[in-house]
Amino acid sequence: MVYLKFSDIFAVNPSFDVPVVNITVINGKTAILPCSVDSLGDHKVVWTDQFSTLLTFDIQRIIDDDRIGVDRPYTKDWNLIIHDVRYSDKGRYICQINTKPVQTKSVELIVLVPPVILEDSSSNDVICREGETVTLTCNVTGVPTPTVNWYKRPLADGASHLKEKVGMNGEILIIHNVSRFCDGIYECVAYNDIPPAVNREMIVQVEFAPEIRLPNKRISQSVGRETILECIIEAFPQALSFWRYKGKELKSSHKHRIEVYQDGEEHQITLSLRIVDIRQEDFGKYVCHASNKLGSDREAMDLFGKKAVYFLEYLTKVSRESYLNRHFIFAISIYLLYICF
Amino acid sequence: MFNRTPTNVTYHVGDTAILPCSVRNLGTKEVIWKRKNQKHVITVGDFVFISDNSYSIDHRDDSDDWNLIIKNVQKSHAGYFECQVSTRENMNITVQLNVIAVHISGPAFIDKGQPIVLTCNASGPITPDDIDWFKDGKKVRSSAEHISIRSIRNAETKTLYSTLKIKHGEMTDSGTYICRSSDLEIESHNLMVLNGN
Repeated sequence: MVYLKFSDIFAVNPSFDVPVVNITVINGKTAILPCSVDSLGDHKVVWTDQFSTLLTFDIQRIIDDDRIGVDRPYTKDWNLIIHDVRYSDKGRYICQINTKPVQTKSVELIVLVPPVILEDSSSNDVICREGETVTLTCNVTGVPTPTVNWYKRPLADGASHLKEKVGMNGEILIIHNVSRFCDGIYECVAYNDIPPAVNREMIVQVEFAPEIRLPNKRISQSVGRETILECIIEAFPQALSFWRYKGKELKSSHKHRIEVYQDGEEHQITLSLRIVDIRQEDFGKYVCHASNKLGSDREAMDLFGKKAVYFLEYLTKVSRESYLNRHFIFAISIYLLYICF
Repeated sequence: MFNRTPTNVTYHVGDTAILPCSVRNLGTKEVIWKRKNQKHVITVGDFVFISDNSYSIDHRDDSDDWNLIIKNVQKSHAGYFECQVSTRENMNITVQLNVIAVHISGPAFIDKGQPIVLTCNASGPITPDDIDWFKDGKKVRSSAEHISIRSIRNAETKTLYSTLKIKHGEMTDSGTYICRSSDLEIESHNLMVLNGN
């Protein structure tokens, strides 16, 4: 008794009916690697991966990886289906028919990976001092290799429309000789044409010693009235700041009211000293002090009485050349002397 | 888990070669045999994938063994084979198959005065041209009265047979006989002449 195989009778050998192709798929999606065979007869089809690991045999999955299967939309199709594709799945897959000799067809699987910023090896917020060099890093992965762009915007809330592109493309942004104006929110954005793009923000703050500015170096007021002395302090971190008078630090009291307020500019405060019911002994030099760990600054301001005497002299001079009554001037003088002293 | 089995086996041309592979707790997974340097598999479970009936799998249902059997083993079968378990964990062992193309047949012991007959057959992809005999490292030549060496060629099996005959074995004929083919295949055979008197 002689058995003849179907393929022997018809002498038709199986063959692949589609050309070799590359399949490109995005990480996490499903890949279908085509393998269609004409005249398979009672031959078997298997798939192996690039490491020659057997994946499927006939219609069964052999490998213990349930993402893999044989996809057969039509009778002649023996496609390899890989769900939830990973980057490690990339490489050459081989569809084989057990003819003599074995026929093989390879399919190259290309896996694209959206960009990822590696948190552990990327920069966090930075606090530095003026003159230093700051290096910001966004370590990214992805296939193809993502491009990294850098942007900067001011620290103040609501200033995000002031975002500007800084530096060159790349994983590392270096800021040489940092000044206080380099502070801000830096953002790296990684993109490789495979959405979504990803970003990471790093706050850069620059420390500097206090600098004091006085809007008025001298101010005058009359006895019994009140006035406000203002001292503008720029510093980061914000300074310890106070007013000193006659060697003593002033505290808020019924006499002095000290207030601190921020007026728009980042890292800038105004220290105000309100002096009520000014007396003769309140006139003198008020010193505004500010200090932080990087240094200190101070500026002095004069509060002086309105000198009615000068006014009197002026009046006397004027009266000699005018018709003003000497008695009237005398009366005014007495009054001025009374209110000033 | 693989059981420990030999990873280097040697057979003579024409033998039935057994390449051992034994796997504990295989479960639902399959054992696959392939040649290291070829992309295609030889066997999947007990199914022989390639159209070559010299291969088969020796496996019983209650056994861990999935030995690859190669009938009438040839020099061309020699090389590295991989026994692989169908798992992502890259479980495999490599078995080296050596096929010796020369083979000496003959007795290991002989009584003094009896004839000594050693036959060496050497095969290859092309029939080897010649066979040399050595005893204890020294080349053996035919001499009219004591030793004769004759060769016969079999074109069908591509084998050269060489027969070394010594009419009456002497005590000095004890030693290591070596057969070397012109393909530089080599095998040794120990012979001891016994004196019972």
